[in-house]
Amino acid sequence: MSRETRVKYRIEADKGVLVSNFERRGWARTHEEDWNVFWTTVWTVKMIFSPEASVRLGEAQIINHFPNHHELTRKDCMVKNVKRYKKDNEKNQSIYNQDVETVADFVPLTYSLPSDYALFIEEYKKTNSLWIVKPANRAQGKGIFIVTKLGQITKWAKQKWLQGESGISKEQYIISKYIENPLLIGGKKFDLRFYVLVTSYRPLRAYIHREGFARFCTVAYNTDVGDLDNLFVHLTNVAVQKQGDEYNDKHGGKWNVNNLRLYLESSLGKEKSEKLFNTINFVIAHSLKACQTVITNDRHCFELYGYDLLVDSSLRPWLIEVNASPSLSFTTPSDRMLKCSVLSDTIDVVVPPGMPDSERLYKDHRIWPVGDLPLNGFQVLVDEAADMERKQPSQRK
Amino acid sequence: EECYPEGATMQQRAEVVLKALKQTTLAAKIKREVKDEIIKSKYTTNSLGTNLPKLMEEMGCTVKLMNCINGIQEACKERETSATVAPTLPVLDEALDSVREAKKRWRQTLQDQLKRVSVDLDVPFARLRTQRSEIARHTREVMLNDNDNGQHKDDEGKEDHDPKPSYKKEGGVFGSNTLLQHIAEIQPLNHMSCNTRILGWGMVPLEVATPSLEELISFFSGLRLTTRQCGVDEVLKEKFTEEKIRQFQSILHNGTTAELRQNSKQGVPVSMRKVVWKTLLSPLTMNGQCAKDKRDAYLHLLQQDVVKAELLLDDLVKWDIRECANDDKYFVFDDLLERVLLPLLRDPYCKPYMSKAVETLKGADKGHNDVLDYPPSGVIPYQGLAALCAPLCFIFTDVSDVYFMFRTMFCRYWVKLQTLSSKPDSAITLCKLFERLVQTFNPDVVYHCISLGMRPLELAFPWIFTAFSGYLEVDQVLHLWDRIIAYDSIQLLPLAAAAIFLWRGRCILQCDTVQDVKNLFSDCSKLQVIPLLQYFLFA
Repeated sequence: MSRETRVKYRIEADKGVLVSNFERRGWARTHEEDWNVFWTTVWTVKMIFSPEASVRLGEAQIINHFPNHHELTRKDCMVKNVKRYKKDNEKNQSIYNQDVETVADFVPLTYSLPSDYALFIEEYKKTNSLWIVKPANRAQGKGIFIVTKLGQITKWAKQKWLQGESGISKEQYIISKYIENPLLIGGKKFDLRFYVLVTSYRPLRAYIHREGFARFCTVAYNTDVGDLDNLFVHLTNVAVQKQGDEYNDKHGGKWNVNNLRLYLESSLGKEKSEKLFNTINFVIAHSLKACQTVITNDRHCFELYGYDLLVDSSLRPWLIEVNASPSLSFTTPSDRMLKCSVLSDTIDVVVPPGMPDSERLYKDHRIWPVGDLPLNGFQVLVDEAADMERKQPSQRK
Repeated sequence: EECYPEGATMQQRAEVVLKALKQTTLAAKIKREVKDEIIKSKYTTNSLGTNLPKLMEEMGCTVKLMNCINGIQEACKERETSATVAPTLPVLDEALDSVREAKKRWRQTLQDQLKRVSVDLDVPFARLRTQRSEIARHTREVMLNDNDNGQHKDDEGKEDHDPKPSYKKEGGVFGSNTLLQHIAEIQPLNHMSCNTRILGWGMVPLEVATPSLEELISFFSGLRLTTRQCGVDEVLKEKFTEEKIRQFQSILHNGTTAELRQNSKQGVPVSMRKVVWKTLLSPLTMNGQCAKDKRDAYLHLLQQDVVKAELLLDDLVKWDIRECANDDKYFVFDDLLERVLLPLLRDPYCKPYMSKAVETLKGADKGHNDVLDYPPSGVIPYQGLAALCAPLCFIFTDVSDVYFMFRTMFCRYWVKLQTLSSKPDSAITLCKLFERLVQTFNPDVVYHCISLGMRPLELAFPWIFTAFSGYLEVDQVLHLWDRIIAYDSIQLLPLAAAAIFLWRGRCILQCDTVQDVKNLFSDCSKLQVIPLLQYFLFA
C-alpha cells in the first residue's frame, strides 16, 4: 500500500489567490521540475513546448496553457480563425444560430496592420465610423487609441512602418470598427468578463463559470470628439480606470453578472435578456470551435480564458477579445471571493482525484463524463465527447 | 374631492364611491357605449334586464368600472388617513402627550442639526446659484473627495485628529441611530411596572398596540407554505416563471386591479415588475402617453428649479448618494440617483405626507420677512434615502419613471419609517412589533443579547429603516417590496427582521461578545427573505 503522495505545485510569481488555494489542498510547493501542477505564464509555457526544450512532460503533469493558445488569444489570429471557420463550414447548419448568423458576425470588423492596410483604407472610405487601434498582443489597455480622421491613421502608419529602422521587428496592430453605441447602464459604458475553462480541444470540452462580471467606466459615456482621448470614458479595463480620480476602491467598478441579469430582465423583459445570454454562450462556444483544428491538443494542458464582450444598444454582444491569463489580482473583497472561487472550481475540475498516484491520468480525466465531475460554479458549455457518445454509444468495458 | 365621512358604515362608503363614480368621464363614456350597443335591434326590452350585466362584461366595461371603483376607493382611503381635507385637532392626530413631546423634540433636533451644518459649511439654507456659489460648491465637493480618500490611508484604528461632526458620521441630518435613540427616550407617563414582567427588556418603553401573531398570520395568509411564491418556487418548480408570466399577462389584459393585487401577494415575476408596480401604485393615473408627457413636464420644472437655486440640503443628499454608491450593487446609478433626489427636495407634493412625520421646518430670508417651508417638499435628507431609491433603478430605466415611482413609494411607505406616532404603522409601532415578536418566539436569544450588552432592536432597526436595501441582495429586496406593495403594508419589515434575526438564533446563543453578534449579521447577501418569512410565520 503506497502512502498517498502529496501533489506538488509550482508557480511563477507569488499570487495570493494561487498560494492560498494550493496550500489549502495540502499541496507542496516545488521550484524544480518535479511538479504535478504548474500555474505559469505564457512565456514559460512557450519555452517548455519549444522544439529546443529538453524536458518532456510526464503523465502526472498538468500545465495551465496550451502551447499555441495565441490562435485564440491574439486579436489578429482570433479574427483570422473565426473568418476561416465560417468559410470552411458554410454548408454546415450547426455553425448558424436561429438568426442565421455565425460567430464571425459577432466580432467587429477587423483588419490587421500593416498587412491589410490597403483593404482597411478602402473600407474606411466607405463608412463614416470610428475605428479603434490596438496592439495585437498587449493587455491592460496599453497602446490603444481611437481614430476619427483618415489623416490620423495614415500619419501614424507612416511613422510606425514606413520610416522605421530596418531590422526591428514590426509590431502587429489591429484596427477594428469601434462600437459607438454601447448599451449604457446609468449612463455608463461597461463590458463583460466571463471565465471559460477548456480542458480539451479535440473533442472540445469547455465550461463557463457562473461568476462573471461587468466592468464599468467611472465617467458617463459620450461620443464627443473632444473626449475621444479620454480613456476613462471609453476603456473599461480596470488598469485604466484605476488611474482616474473617480475610481472607488470600495466597489472597483465591477458588477456581478447576476445584478446585470436582474437589471436586464426587469427593464427589458425575459425574452430579450435570455436571448442575450444565450447568444453570448453561442459566440463563446463557436469561437472555441473555430480554433479547434489549429490549437495543439496537448494532453497535459488546460486553459482558463477570460472572455471580454461588449453589448451594444440593440442588445447584441460583440466579442472583443480572449485573454489567456485573466488577472487573478483583486480590487475589492467581493472581487477576491470571485477570483478565489473561480480558481478553486478550476482546480476541482482539472485535477483528477487521487492525483498524482491515481490511476486516472489527466489525459483521460480531461474528457471524463461531466456527471462525475465536481463542477461547482462551472456549467458545461460544450461537451463534444458526450455528443459523440450519444450519436455512437461506444462499447465500454 | 370625495372622502369618507367620519365613522362611515359600509353603506355610506358605497354611496360616496357611487357618487364619485357617476362624476367620472369613464362612467359617461361607458353609458354611451352600452346605450349604442343595446339600441341595436337584436336586443329586446324584456331580455335586457337579465342580459345587461353579461353584456357589459363581454364589452369589457365591467373590468374598467371595477378598476375605476378600486381607484376611487384607494383615494378615499388615503384621504381618510391624511390630514389634507381639514386639519385635524392635535389631540386626534396624536393622543399621547409623551409622543407629541417627542415629536417636538425631534423637530428641534433636526432644526439644530441643520443650522450646525449650515454654519460649518458656511452655506445658507438656500440661495440662487451664481458663479461664486458654484465655485464654492465645487470646492466643497473636491474637499469631500479628498477627505474620503485621505481617510482610507490612515485607517488603522487611529483616532481622527478632529472628531467628525455627527452629521458627517451619519451622512445627513440624521441617521437611523439618532432616530432610534429618540424612540427609546419616549417614556410613557402612565405605566406601572408591576403589570408586565417583560417590561424593561425592550428598547421601546412605550406600550403601543401591535397586531398579534394570529392577526399577522391571517393578514399575510398569502405567504402560506401551501401557496407557490415568486422568490422561492423558481428553482423548485420547472417552468414556474413562464406560468406566472402568462398568468400576470392575462390579468393585466382583462382582469381587474384588485385581482392583480391579489396575485401579487405571491410575488411578481421579474420581467413583469415594471408594469405591475406601475399599475398597483397609481391606479387612477392612466398609463397613456399624455399622462407621461404631463409627468415629464412636471419633472422638468423641478429640474429647472434645481439649476436655478441651490439648497444646503443638496450637499447632504450628495453625501448620502456617495455612501450609497459605495455599495457594489448601486454604484452604477449614482448619476440617476442625483437626478431623482435633488428635484424631490423641491417637490411640494410630498409636503402633506412629510408633515405627518415632522412638522415642516421653516426658513426665513435675511430680513425675516418671508417665512417659507424649508425645503419645499418637507423631505429632510438622511442616510438611507438614496438606498430606498436605488433598487428602483433596476426596474425603471427612465428618470421620470424612477422619480414618480420613488415619490409615490416614499410618501406612501417610507415616510412612516421616520414618523413618531402612536398610531399603527409608525416607527414606534414597527419597533415595538419587532421586539414583541423576537421576545415571544425566542426569549433566550433576546436575554442572551441583553446580557452581552446589546438590544436586538439596535441590530435590526437599520434594516427596517432602509427596508433592507443595502443589506439583502437586490433581487431579495425586490421580492420583499413586491409584497409590501401588494399588501399595502410595511408591517412586513419588522416581520422579516424578526425572521432573519431568529434564523441565526442558535448562533447568537453561542456568541460571547457584541462584536461576534454583529459579525454574524455583517453579510446578509446569501439570505433568501421569502422562505425565511414563510418559515417564521407558518412553520
